[in-house]
Amino acid sequence: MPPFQTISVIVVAAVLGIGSAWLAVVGEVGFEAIRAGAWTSWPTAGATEADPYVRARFARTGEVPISAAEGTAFYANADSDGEALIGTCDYLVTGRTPAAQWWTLTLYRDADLSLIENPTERYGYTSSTILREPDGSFDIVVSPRARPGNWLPSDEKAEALRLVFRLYDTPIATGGSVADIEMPRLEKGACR
Amino acid sequence: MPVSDQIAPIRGPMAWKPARRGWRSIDRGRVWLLVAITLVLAAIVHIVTILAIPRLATRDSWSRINAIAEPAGITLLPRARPGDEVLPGLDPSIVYGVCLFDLREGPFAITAPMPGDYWSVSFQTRDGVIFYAVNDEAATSRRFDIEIRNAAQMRRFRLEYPEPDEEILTIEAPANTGFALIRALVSAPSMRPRVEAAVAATVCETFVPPPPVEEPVGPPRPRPNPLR
Repeated sequence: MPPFQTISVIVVAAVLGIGSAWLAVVGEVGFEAIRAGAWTSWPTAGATEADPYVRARFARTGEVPISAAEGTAFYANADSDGEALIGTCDYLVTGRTPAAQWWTLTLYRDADLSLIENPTERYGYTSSTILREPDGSFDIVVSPRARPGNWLPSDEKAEALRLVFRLYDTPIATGGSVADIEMPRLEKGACR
Repeated sequence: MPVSDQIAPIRGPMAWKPARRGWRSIDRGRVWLLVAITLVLAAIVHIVTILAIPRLATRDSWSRINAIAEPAGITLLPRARPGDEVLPGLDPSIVYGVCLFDLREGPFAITAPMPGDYWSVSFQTRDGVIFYAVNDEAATSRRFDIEIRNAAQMRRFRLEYPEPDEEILTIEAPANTGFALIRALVSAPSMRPRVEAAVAATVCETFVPPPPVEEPVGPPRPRPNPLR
């Protein structure tokens, strides 16, 4: 093979291979992802049998995964209609949660999973600090402006957002049915 | 025939074809072969990159924890605040404690009285594999007592203590280095000091192996003596 062709093949192969690997790790690829509405979870994250994409993803972000014996984390960076969560819009997190001893809902920047500064120092809710409806359901409003009820402050300057719903000690993670997970809906409200 | 007569008739769709053999004169089959080689190589590069990322990552959880944790004993991760997070994606409602272990120095043990609402302990190797985890519901009592050993230490331990100990759980670690991560839930803001104190009371220790000939200097807690 002429040297020019050899070099071209190697360069193109390297760009395609590394580029596709990078996109797969930055994106939400994983053979073992569970999806429930707007939420995605990687229940095998950190496990010995975790798929290589999930392992590479966690190695890149530096997060410590939750093992199935401890609980499950669900991630959402888009609302229930599939539109990306952004700082200038309000979002309503409404509904019920799967069975779990405890849960927490936390708001982060999507880019680096950092918390969003706010004067009330409210970064999330736990199942014990939330105000519920009489039937046990709840509404949380993610908004850059103060709201009555369960207000989770976001920031207009924060671009893409990510909500993380962590279920601690849940039968889902330890062999419960995946098909009928009921996760809260994520509805978009007013935008500025 | 003059040379100019040979060149002049080339026109229309054939005009692009160069007279000399070279890069652009290769046939269709050869192009497909090159494309196929490129794709196979790209697939290999893709797989190798995905598998290499955990080994090459310098900002993974092990590197970040190793940078801030004390070499011995428990380190409480500072409370996650905006702009001051030691790890990305920490849960602000959880108090985290880490203990580094290095089994080349000896078996590692962790003991903690755990009051509070939810707690869990997971053991991770430096490659990010969680090889054992337990939470408060699965644990039988309000305290936990776990020892981890590598394969060689485990064999020696089984020879020395053939009867399983009911009180202390012994786990075999797949790697020599890693960390234990303790999570404890703060169910209400007023509970935070109590939960932090409980996590800080965790005892993490490495047993220096006893001298080979003398009577083994056992761990601090009493064990059933198989010879009695």
